[in-house]
Amino acid sequence: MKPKRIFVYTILLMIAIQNLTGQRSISVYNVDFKSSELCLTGELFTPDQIIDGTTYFNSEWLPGDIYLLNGEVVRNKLIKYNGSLDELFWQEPKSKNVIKLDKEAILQFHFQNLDGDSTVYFRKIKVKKNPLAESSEIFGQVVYEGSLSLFVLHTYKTAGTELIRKNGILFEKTNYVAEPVYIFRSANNKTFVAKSLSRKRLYEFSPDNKDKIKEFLKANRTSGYPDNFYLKRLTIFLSSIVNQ
Amino acid sequence: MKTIIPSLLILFICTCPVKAQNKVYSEKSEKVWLQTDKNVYIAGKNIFFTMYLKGSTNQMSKYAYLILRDRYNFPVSRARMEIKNQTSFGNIFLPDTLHSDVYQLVCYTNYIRNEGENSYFTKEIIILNRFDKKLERFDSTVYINPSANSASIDSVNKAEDENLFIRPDKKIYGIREKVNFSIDAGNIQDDSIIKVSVSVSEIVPGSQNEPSVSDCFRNTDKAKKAGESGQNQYKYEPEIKGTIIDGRIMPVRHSDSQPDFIKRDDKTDTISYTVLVSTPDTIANMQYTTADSSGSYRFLLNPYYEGKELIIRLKENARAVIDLDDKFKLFQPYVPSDFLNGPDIRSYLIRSLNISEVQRYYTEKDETSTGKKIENSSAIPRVYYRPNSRVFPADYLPLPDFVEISRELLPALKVRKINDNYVSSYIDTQNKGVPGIEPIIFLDGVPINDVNQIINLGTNEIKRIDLLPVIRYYGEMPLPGILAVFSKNLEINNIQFTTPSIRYQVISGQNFTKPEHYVPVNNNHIPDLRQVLLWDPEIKMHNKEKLQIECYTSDLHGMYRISVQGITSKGLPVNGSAIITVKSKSD
Repeated sequence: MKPKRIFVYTILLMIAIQNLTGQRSISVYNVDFKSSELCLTGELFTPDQIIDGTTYFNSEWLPGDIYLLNGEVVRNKLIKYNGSLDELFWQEPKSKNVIKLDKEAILQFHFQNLDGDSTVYFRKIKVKKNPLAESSEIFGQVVYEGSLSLFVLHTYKTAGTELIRKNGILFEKTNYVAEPVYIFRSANNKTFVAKSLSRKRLYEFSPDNKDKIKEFLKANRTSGYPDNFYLKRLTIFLSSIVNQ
Repeated sequence: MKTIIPSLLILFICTCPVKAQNKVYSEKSEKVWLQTDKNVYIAGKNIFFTMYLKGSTNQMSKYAYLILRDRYNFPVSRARMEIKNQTSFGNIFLPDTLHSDVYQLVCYTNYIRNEGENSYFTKEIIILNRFDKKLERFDSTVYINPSANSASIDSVNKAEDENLFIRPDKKIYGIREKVNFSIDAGNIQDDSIIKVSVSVSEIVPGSQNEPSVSDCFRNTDKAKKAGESGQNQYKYEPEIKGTIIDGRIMPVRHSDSQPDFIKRDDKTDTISYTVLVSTPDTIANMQYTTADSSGSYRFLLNPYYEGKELIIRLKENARAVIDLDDKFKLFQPYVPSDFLNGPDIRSYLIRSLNISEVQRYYTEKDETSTGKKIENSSAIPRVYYRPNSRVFPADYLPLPDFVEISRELLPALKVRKINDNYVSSYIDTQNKGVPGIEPIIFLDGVPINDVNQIINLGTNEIKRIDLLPVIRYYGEMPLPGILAVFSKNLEINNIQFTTPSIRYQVISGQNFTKPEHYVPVNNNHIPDLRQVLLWDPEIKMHNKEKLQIECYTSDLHGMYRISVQGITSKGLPVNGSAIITVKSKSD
């Protein structure tokens, strides 16, 4: 009985001491500079049309970090990204208003936890949407970074309209279908853009390595939209055949 | 009973650390120490210094403050030092109008201020004016640094606690001879990089060893607990991330009315005063914070504002003034120590004056080299990036005032006269603006109170107008539209704010400067009258290492002290010294 009791008291003592020393380390420098810290800037989002919920990369507000062009990081803000509008939204905590953030200030943003995945980063990259237009800046998801990097643009195309009745009023609703764009960018800024990752399209990436690509696709079959693991494997593979 | 005794024992043991927590402050407090190249200076020359900081490893201040004050407590010079790896170095230029007298150097960090001025580093130096031939101030009493006393020059000894071994190749040198000495750190157990500053300077007669960096950092007797000084209005935080600005909104009492101090939110019974900070610029910029229930506010100042003139004002109207904590304010008066007199020191000072007189004819000025400043991310805190529309009034016919400009050139903006005042608002074209509510107006990058302050500006005065007729957010602050006007001649300087405001010049960080090393020239007939043979504020060495240093003696005979002070990257103070003598062959 006695040793048991001594053991219990020792444990209690240890917990108590740990708690107290823990308090000590935070008691001195607990300063709240929140309001004077670097601010996110943006415009109150009041869309002219109803935004289709499916065009949001994340349907729920998620905590994320926003990396600004000046090197500052604004952490732990509730954010949402809309691929159709290519805009990052912030839920202002006081008013709960939706703020469309100034894209000019943002370098990249990061979702802290997207369904358990803490590696989801979006970076602003320059893309030429068509040969006649000037290049524009768009947020692309960083799927893989290496000697060959892969960015995915979460774009959408319209798939017709339908009339829906809401509160007795008829609305014309535009339906969207995801149309991701894959951008492979090598270290020397050579870019290969693909809307599909079909065998034919990948042959265009490296016409001299058709056999190897065929072999890779045979070994890594996918159906529907490829997931990030497949995209990473594919990028590493393409990187390896380019560097050979 | 059996269970009560052990329980009480646990409770007792638990309360011990709680009591110990009260001492955390002093345990985690910082200490600064300053080494100067010498102790006697001539007005018009530079004081070179190295500063060392000791504190909690990961939470150390990034800035220190240095004041040089005279006996009347007038700050002759002030500097803000950026601290890089626990050290900082640089120079203070001494205005040539300074009187011959004893002065005090005071150095501290914002965090040290909590412990009262007794915890500040202080050091007395003598500054001589070259036109003051009589040195009357030193007639009856001569002051020298506080550690000095009337010991004779022969009694100059090494400090007892030295942990660096300084070994000169000789004890006696001739004039213009190379001096080689080694710094041996073999005794340092701390396995880290050592940063030292080295001074080889003429010993002031009658002076003893100054307290070393080791003396200072080991001696915690002077340290006071927080609040003991009784002078502190604020609890000062360590400036780890950047410059902190503390202040308070002080009520102005009128005899006929109650003080209109704080606007309270009826629902939450909290104060909602907002303090805005900005600087005149070609970009609308701002930082804001909210005052607490006592009217106190605090900014972590954006590095962009360093070295700039800030306009700090209340967003809301109030009968109050904005008080700003002056980091350079010292409460305790400086009382010079007066314990040294005698013919030796006076003749030394006269000799120093004569030397400076001769040097003036041969040498143009002290050469200093500037090191790199710490690069802060200094992006301007922009309120917006791209305006919805931008107008350059000079592209149009001249218009006399802003009413006309708004009518002719800014269709989205309405400026109306109500009674004797003008009111502006955006036209709500797409339900995006807020009609009737005045947009936030910026003049030359600074938020002003209302459109009346710019109403007289015409085309000739205005360079550019940016319009954002939408509700915007700057952090958590909603802005009901933005109108930014940029004038040709910084009209913001002529604006009278209707809400409490102050202007404040932020002192930028001190450059990391050091004198150019002396390089001997063959057959040089110019007299070499250097009293400081070497000043190197920053030498890096590893422990167990032996570092060889060389310098050259001048034409001046006398005794010189090699003083090496420093700190390891783990915070262990290191110091060492040696004495050398310079004699000519005829001696």
